[in-house]
Amino acid sequence: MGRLLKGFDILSIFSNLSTILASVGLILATSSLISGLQLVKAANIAERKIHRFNGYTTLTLFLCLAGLSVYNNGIGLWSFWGWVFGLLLFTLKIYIVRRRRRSFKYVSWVGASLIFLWLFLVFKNIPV
Amino acid sequence: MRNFFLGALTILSVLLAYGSASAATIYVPGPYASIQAALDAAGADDTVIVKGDEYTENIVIRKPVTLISELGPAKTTVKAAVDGEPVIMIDGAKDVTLSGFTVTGSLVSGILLSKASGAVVTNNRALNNGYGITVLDSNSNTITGNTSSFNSDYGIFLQRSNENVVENNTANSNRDKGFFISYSSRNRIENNNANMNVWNGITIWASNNNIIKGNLTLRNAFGIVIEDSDGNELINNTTLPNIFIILPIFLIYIGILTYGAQKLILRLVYRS
Repeated sequence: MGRLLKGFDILSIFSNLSTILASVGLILATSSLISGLQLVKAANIAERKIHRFNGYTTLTLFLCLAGLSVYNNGIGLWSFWGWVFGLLLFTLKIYIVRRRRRSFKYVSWVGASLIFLWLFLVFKNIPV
Repeated sequence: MRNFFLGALTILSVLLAYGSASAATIYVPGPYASIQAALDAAGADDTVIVKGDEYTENIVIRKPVTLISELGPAKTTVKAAVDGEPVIMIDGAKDVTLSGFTVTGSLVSGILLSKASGAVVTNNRALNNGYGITVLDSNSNTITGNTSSFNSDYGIFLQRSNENVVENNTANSNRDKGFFISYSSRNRIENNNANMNVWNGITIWASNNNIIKGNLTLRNAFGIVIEDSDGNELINNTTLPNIFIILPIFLIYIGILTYGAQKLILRLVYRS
């Protein structure tokens, strides 16, 4: 039998830039979601800074991944609407957090949707 | 003394003439329209260089020649004219070099080495064949830097073949196994990728004393399977069949740790 997963074997799959960007995106989105859930419970300056830093960093990573994808693979109908949908999700999240109106109660759902977005990006960028 | 120098000069000229005659280079298309015609005309140790194009042939190599493409596999494709024959077959020849082709459309094999020895098969792509690259009753060959993917059976198949070097190859998305080493011993299977094959990434069957080192097998049904075999060495291979599940869990776990670390750092900053 082949050797089972040991130690840091998993690191060997990070062989291209888009895998690394998608992985960092999911890590920061997870951290952002936890800090966001904490913020919904009670305002805290440290949580807010973590949430904002991670949120805008993940948005930057998303735009980098979209740019890399278009550069490497061109753009098709599905991928175009996929990237537009992702960008709209980010925009909606920022809009809801900024306006803090009635729709604010749905902010954690939008945050969870962003986690699913990053899971999808990780799956799409597994290097095989 | 003068006669000695003349004699030496004559021998040197003959050797040089022989040397140049024994290593001719033939271009295809050129004097010969097909690759097979050029190979038939070539002598031992000649080089046949194939210009970038799509060729429809079944090629058989029976002499020690070098067959290479000018522009590499991306621009030089050989399709099987008869799909019941291999696209390129090295049949009983020694020291053949085959490099830079995309071979496709054979129900048998993209590249077949039969009773060959000392062959170097490098930088080829075997796509959409029965087997990608088959090494049958052949010893001491080097199969390196090839891609053998989307074939209906195995990517790279060694049968009754010993002391071959199979390294830096990629066998992905084959509809059976990536690498199948059967009744073959003392081979070196090193630094290959076998991913997303329907069955096993690498299978060692009734084969002894092979070295399987540094291979990466992801998202196959099973990574590396060894049966009815003895004395095989497994060194630093990576087998992750459930990468779809493992990677997100790993990343989310790192995300939770990152949140903890960020919170700790900010607390320290705001405390000071």
